[in-house]
Amino acid sequence: MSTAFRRARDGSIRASFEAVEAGVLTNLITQLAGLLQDERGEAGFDGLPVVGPRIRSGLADDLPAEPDNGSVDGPDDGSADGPDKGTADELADDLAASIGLPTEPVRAPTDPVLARLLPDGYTDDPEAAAEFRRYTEYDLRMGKLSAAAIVLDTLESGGSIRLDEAQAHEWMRVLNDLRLAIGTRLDVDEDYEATADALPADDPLRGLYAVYEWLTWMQDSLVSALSKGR
Amino acid sequence: MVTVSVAPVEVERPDAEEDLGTARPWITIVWNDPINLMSYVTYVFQRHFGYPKEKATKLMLDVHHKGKAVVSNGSREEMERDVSAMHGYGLWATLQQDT
Repeated sequence: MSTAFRRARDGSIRASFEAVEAGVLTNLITQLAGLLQDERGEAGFDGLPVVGPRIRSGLADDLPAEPDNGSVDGPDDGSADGPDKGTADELADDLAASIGLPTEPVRAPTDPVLARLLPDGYTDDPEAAAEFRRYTEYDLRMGKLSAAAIVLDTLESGGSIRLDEAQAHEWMRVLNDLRLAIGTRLDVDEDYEATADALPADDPLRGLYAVYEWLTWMQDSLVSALSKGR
Repeated sequence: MVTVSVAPVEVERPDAEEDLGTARPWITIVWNDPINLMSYVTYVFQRHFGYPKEKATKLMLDVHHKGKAVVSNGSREEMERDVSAMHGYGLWATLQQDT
């Protein structure tokens, strides 16, 4: 049985995981990373690293210092250089492309889990929301992927883990992202416990609810440990 | 209302600042959701904004009970940074011009 996170006397954050629990976490994080890495190419971001147990130790080498050119569906450079586009816009697009940003606004993800992990920045202005995505979504995905890699690296195959402050914060984000992903899949609301209890004993969703509660317990203990200060 | 075209944020900034001159600052709103833990949301408000625990807790409770709370205000650029940071923590945040 895993132990909750706690603040040790030396200031580090400690917890321990059974091998099977570490396996479940690794599996979930790898799935989450697959979503964020844009495996299906929907978002048109190139250069996002693959995060998973096979390559986790070498991840730092796989993180590109600068992303490759973003490529998006829709109008290519030809049509984007239409007569209605000013020189400033063209320059801006060239600059955006040179640092790896898509040259067109980015649409919200269609997958509900991704849409929750990468939400709109504006509710009242779709154009501004798409533009905001264009400038922030790559970094948001990259930040979540980097955090996932740090968790996999420090978790390894379970046992006792010892985290410094920065690592513990990445763990906190990742546990939250996993809860967001599973919670969105389960469509949890404030009364989800009653929904889960009402499921037949052999319903496969029961396992997912149990994982959700376990992650909730872990995250709550981690927030509590971090709040205690050093 | 500032409209944002395909020009980059930097190019748009002069317009945004003109609008700021009309004393309508931008605000960051955090919305309620049934997944984020109350303890976590409070912690994020303390850590990112540097708010004391009491203020962070009050804002978290506003999010929880009223469905949303204004957690910061300032220039559009600053609010975009706050919203990005909130998204990094998994909180559902948006920015808009104060009404």
